[in-house]
Amino acid sequence: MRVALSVPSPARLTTGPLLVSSTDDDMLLDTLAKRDAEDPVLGPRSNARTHDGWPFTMVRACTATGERVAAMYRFGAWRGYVLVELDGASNDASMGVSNGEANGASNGEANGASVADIIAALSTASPDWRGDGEVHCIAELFE
Amino acid sequence: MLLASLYLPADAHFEATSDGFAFVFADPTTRIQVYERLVPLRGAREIFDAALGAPTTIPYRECLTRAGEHAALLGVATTARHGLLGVAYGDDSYRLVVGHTTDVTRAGDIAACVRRLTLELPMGLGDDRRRRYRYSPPAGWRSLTRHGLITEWFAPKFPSNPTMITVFPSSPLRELPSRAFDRNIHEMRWGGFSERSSAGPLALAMPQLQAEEMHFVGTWRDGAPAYVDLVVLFDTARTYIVRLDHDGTHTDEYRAVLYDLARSVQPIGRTATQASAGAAAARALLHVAD
Repeated sequence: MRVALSVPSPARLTTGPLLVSSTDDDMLLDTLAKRDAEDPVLGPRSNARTHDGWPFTMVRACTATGERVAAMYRFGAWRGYVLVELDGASNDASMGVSNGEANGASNGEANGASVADIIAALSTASPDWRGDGEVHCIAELFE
Repeated sequence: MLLASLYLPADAHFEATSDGFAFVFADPTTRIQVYERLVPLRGAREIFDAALGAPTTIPYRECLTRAGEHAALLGVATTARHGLLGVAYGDDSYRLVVGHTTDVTRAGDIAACVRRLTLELPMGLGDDRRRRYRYSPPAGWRSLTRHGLITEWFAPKFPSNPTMITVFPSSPLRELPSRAFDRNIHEMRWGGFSERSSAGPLALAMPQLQAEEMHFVGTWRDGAPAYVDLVVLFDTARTYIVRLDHDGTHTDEYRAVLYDLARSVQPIGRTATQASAGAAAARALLHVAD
């Protein structure tokens, strides 16, 4: 599974493989948001849809070094995730997460990108649910 | 081993390997290697490039096995080596046959053996089964497979544009279109479809198969409008069904895509008839554990 997505610099994008939901989606999303992070503090989850109508759930997290937004796109039993990380964001309450809560919008910026920009970018994602190497029709064998 | 031994050259001996078998000759530069049940499926060009160890632009020949499976052959002739590579595709795996020799006088025999192993050695899948068939997919549409053999094609901007085409595997039964339509509408009702109106069956002109279509209008369980167009193509041996789901806002445009796909369907065929007693005996051996 691939997600075509551009995030504003200097945010970093990590995309994940196709997953079939066999576990708790919320737990999986939280785990992603906290992955390898120092002192992560999660905000609440929120649901949205991309411009093409794909539903996704996202959660923000504040870490010792910056902020993150983890998102999980859904299509039936398929799941695809992305993690966008922003280093150097302050822990100012205006940035987003403090005391375990996430503000609905961020007024702060980190080196030219804001969490609001990232959230906006997530809604432009175009998931391609095909698994790596999958062949879906005979014509694809003889291209 | 029993089946493969039918193709064993007189001057070679059979050698089982962990992933298939090989025909080994006294000349160490001459060998035929067969790799069985390789996964995942890959394109023929990618398979040949990997087998040769380098990308190649040598054209390969697309063909059908005796059982109607899709296959390809690629010949290699250099000053140092002569060979033929063959790939035969099953539903979810493929067989690769690689034959080579440095003896130019043996090149023809080796190539003939590779060709036979690729096109004649049974894959044990059963000729008369539900299976994929060749067609031209809609350009720019994304796809997913369900249950292995059903492929769904999603129009651009899906799901806000709720348009998709479902290609079902070919059935080994020559099913009357009326029965196919009845069965599909029955299955749609399981999915919550409530029919409001229908049109057809109507005959469709298709280049290689007979065809009929029906159009259904209704709603799904959530009340969303449902427009379903079914095309059933058939010949004396098989039935092919493709289905368009849309919301009725661009009916002509998407029906054109459906009809283009239906026109491109290539019937599942065979390269040779199996009328001879020898062929019948070979088929009897299919039931012997190999």
